[in-house]
Amino acid sequence: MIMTEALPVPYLKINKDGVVQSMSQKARDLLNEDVERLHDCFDEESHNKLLKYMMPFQGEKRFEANVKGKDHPFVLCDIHISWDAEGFAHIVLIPTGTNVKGLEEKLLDLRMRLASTDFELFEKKEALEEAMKRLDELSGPLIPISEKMAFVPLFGDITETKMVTVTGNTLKAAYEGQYEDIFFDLSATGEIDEAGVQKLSELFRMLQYMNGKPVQIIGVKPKHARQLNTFDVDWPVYFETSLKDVLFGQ
Amino acid sequence: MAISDAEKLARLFLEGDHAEAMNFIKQQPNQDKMVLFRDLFTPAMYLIGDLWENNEISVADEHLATGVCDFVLSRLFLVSGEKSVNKKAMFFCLQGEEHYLGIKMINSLFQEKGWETKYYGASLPLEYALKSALQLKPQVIGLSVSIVYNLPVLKNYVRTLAALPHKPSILIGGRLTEKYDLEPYANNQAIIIKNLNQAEQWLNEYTEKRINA
Repeated sequence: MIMTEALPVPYLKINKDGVVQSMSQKARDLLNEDVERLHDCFDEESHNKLLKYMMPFQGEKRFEANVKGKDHPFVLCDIHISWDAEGFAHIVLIPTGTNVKGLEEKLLDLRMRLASTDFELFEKKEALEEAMKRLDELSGPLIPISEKMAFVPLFGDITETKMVTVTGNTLKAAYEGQYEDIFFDLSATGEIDEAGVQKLSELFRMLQYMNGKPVQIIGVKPKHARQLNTFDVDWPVYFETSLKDVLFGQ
Repeated sequence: MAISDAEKLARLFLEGDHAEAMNFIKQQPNQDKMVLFRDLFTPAMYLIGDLWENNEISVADEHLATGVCDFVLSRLFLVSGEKSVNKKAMFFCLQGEEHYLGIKMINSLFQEKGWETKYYGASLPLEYALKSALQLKPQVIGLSVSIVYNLPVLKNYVRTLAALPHKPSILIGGRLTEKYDLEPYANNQAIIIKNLNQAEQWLNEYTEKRINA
């Protein structure tokens, strides 16, 4: 009896009618004062679940249930229960509330977020992102000029994301076409940023490995010349002035 | 044994797979909102409750499933289009009540029928409800209660809101309406709605009455 009293967890002993025989001090701290039957300790919604464990069985079982606490109407607990040969059940209640509490707060955040999300706007944004990607794909088409020659005009600003998309497409097309000379045309190119230049020079290097010959750049504007020079990149390329010179000049 | 569609949906919610859950809903042959709510979402969430009772899942799993279900509802049932200015409704759960998915679906049904709605979700204290009702003057106020412990305050909500000068119709919904007789709480001042079918029926009759009036 004294042993029971001093147990460091909420503990109850009940007979097979569910009447409480003894409980630990911790159980008294957790539950309402006037608990006589095990049922009284549990929230109504947990009664059905509890019933499944009220017939003596072998071994021990564990389940989750809401306990009516002294300070709170629902205390979520892990319930451990076992029956002994004399027909008494030994029950330990471990509150799990604190574990789930963090989760509940996260869920509440999520709920607030959902309530404030304008989903129409959200879907427009997704559609826009899709369109941007498509735009990137179309900003660096590889155009075969002859069996040995291909031409890649770069449209718009050279950014990292755009170059990543262009790189994938160009490498694939270059591999399939087996071109000897690949010309990159900057005539239609706008701004160039540093990350974009890095990706661009990587692409040139990859093409050189594939073809065994450096790519050639045409249509460099004065603005680009300055920008390309500032970024300290070792360009594996030749420069030509224009496509016209390449096609007809030689 | 083949598992039902509701069970499949429940599994997807429990796995936290919102993308697959959305695909699953989009692939349903009948895209009527009412049918999806009644035959898929509601039974799926009840099933999750049963799984907890059978000790197959934990409360943490339930929370995850609730979050995913909420996301899918929000994402799939966008409301747009014409709103009637003279059909207004507000919906919320009683203070302390966290089971908000049902009332969210009811809110969505009203919106579909062209109502302008205010949805407050879980746990709205009476004083806020009253303040908002005074401002908005909704013809319909829907309350939801799912836990017995929260019942005692229901009477107070009904009495207070029924006393509003513009005399709104008060609807009581939630899981408890099917399990218990809530008439004593409704006190002849509110209408008890046991499920989505009844909600739709009430809504249709209400609209008819207004046309005939």
